[in-house]
Amino acid sequence: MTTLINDSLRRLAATLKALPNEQDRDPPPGLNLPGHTYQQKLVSPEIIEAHLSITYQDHLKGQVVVDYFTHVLAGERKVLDNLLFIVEEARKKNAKPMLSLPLILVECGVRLRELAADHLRSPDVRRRFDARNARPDATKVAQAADPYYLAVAALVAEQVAPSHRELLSRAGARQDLKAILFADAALALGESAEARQALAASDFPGASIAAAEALKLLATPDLLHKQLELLLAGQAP
Amino acid sequence: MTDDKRRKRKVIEGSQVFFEEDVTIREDALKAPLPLPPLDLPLFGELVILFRDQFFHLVEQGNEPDRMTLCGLSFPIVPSTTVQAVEERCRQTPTAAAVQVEFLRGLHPSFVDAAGAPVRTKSTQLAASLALDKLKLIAAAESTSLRKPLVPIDHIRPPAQVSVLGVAVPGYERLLFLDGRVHDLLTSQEFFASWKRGFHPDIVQQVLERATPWPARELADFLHKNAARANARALSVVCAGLHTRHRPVSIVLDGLDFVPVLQGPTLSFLEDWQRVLAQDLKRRALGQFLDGEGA
Repeated sequence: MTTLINDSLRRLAATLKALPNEQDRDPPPGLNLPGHTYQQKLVSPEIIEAHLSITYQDHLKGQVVVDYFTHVLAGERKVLDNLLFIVEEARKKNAKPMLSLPLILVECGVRLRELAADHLRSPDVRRRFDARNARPDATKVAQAADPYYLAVAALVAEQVAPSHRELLSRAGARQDLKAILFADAALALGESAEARQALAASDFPGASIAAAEALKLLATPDLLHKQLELLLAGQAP
Repeated sequence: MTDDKRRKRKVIEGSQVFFEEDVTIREDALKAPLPLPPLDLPLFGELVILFRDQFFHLVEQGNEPDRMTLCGLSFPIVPSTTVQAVEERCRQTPTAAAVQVEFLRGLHPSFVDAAGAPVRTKSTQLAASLALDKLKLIAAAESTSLRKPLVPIDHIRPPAQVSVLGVAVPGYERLLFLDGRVHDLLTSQEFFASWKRGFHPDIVQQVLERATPWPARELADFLHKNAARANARALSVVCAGLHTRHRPVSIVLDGLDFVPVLQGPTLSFLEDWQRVLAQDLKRRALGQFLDGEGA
């Protein structure tokens, strides 16, 4: 993969460097340095401690999706518990079950169907978004990013579709980045014009809510069943 | 000690004979930490590598062979400053000079006058000489509680270390600093050796006894081919550290591949460094007192 260092990547790198850590656990053996920094900046301690088994390619993004959904969109840890239960049960048939990103997203959508119809549109979602937000240190963000953080920014940028990469450089705070990562993941599964409009307008919480609405519509129990079968078979979707 | 218990020493200078009181140093002052401000080095504000007594950092462009590859980006690793230069800057601060004067005064008030200038008499110089010998013994005893040097498995040139840190704490010779954590930099074989219990003895022997260095990627491929003779967890961790197809991370210095392995907080490293710097300041203070030059 060839990564282009441009102004967007530099802005994202400066933001990431200036963001306070969300958690500061030591890296587990096998996790590389940029992966660890990504987790420090964008994954809450509850999700790290849950030790979700997620496929290698989707690992970092999957953690952010579960984190953002649990703490902002749903406001409860039911999905996290469900995913842990799924892995535990799957282990009876597959020694190394690894959750795929589509399975995580479909499980989120199925959970949204169980919540009140207006759950995503309630002011509580934006309240949680604001309450958990963290802004980068203004003095640090003005400094040029060093090469290491350019690499971390490249890692974050690599998680989203090329058309969404520039959006990351517009993120002003931690939850903006998480909302973009969530919306990007959900949009890869189901289209939402409203979410795309909100992204274009830099309304990142709005985009994540609209993308989650789309997810709710497509996440049928049948689709979840299909994803679970893939998990049991040890196949990526 | 009261005045009447003080020993008188016979001093002969030419044809003159006179008696001088012994100066008894306060030994606890030799061991007491110096009130130096914590080492807070701006150079640790970014990823920094310590290798062969020299600090390095990453730059965006250049053709240097020493490189760090991260997430599809490859950056040259270039020297920033030497450990010795950083230590010299610490020694040149007004605080360090003031602390050295107070250290001498703490050993015995007669070592310095009210303005902090050394008062060199035969008895203070003899006492300073004794203090220097004792300080060396204390430093030798303390060094055993510091980090032990890495035992290089192969291919590493002996470091030409001249800094206080390099000489006193050889365990800090290959390090990577990042965001408050310090990582050891291990060669492919050293890294493998730290997980060798997860591999069949034949594999361990083949890896550790090879005469030429194992490039990290080649070693990862070799281990993958011998996966049947490895513990799955050990194989996964070692191969993830050596080389991954997806988002590979690599560090090449002096033509060798290195793997960063977490050691602990940078703060502990700085504390150890400050401890040996303080020892060095004491030694220099006594050395300068004795001969007016550096020890």
